[in-house]
Amino acid sequence: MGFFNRSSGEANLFCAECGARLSADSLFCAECGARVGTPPTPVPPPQPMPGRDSMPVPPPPVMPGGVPMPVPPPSAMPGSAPMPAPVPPPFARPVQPDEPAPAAPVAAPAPVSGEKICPDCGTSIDGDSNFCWNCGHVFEAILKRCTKCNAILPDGSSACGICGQPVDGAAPAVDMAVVVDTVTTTTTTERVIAAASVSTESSDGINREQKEAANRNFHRPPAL
Amino acid sequence: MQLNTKGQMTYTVDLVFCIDATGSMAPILKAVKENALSFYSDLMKVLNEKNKRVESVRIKLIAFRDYIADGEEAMLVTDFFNLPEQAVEFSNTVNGITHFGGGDIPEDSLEALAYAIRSDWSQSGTKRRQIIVLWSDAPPHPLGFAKGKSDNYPSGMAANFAELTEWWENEQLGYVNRRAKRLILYAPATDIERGYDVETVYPWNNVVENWNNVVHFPSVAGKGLEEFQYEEILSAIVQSI
Repeated sequence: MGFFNRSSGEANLFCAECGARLSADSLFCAECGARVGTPPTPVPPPQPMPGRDSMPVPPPPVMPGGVPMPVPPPSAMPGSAPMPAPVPPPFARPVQPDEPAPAAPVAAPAPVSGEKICPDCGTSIDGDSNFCWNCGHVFEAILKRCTKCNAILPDGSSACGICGQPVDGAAPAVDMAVVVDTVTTTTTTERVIAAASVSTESSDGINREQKEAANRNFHRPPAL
Repeated sequence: MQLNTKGQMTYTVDLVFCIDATGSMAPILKAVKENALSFYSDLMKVLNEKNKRVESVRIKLIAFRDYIADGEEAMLVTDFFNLPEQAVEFSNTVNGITHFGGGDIPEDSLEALAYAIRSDWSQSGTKRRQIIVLWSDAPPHPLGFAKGKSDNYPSGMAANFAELTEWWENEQLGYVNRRAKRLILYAPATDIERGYDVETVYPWNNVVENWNNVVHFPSVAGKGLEEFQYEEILSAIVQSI
């Protein structure tokens, strides 16, 4: 635990906990979730089975006539010390085969009339779609935005879900306030924007209406 | 193991973004807002480069502040948005978050973390990822700090850090999955050696040092995480999948 330390400079090829092969830059093991670099849980070494060689002996080659060639054991070779038995890894797992190389890109078919090609993944999608359904690429240029608050308008919207501005751009109804100056008897008409949006504008330029509308997706969480 | 037609592992990814929405957090909020709409496609690009296949991505927001100072605005959560189908709705919701309030320096981040842990995680898919990303430029209050002081403090909240640790670590409770859970923490490291007020401050270091599957990117306190770029945040999320 503690701060994640990747300064060792050593490439961790296998998870210290479960032995699974790791991607080059993984922070966590994809198999067991252990953090890469965590010291392995101590495991007692495997006990060798009695009467069993740790190194498998391949079958001897067969001479013509079907008589197997005698193969001397490694320890009987003159002048050589007995070969040490290889130490199996603490967690015996088969080595994962190399990941297949990515397939060569296939030329995208010509789009059908009314469709367009995603510039990121080449998928053919509806011509009026704002997103590629395959990779999520956003066709920013054709997104409709509210003329008042610049929020993105989902397809088919009649009004902005954030500020309520009608999509056709018509100005919303306003409350008119009439202020009478009793001293000079001058009548002044002021245009009052509904919901006091200007006076409660927050520092990031979003007014109260926008905040309340966006907060519709937010709710106070229930008791746990 | 779930494989697609090319024999690659596929993942079901649930993300919970816990965002400190108090007054000092303008820089990171700006970065999140600017990139909210393209987040899914950006994520897919990086995942494709790493040959990781994701079959579903859901994302949820928790905007937190201070129960005592901010009352009803202290803790706001959304449901999970399915991406990319609800990318517009997600983006608009993110862009509606305003940074204000906070009161004293510590915030109620541990309560936000508790709500994140208790999310309605997807149960489908063999390769699941339950990733919580928390951004704060302040230390948290101890759990229960606002209890009895704020009418909005929720009942059923973890009583203390030990109980919250149980929620995170005890798989039998079923809140998060041992293999799927990830916590990516962008928060200041509390300088324990210099001392801190234990009545009002709880050190993030205790989370980092006692919880499994946590990655901590220490931030400068009070600066709104301005030192972190969107690309490195995205990279950290992808590496945790």
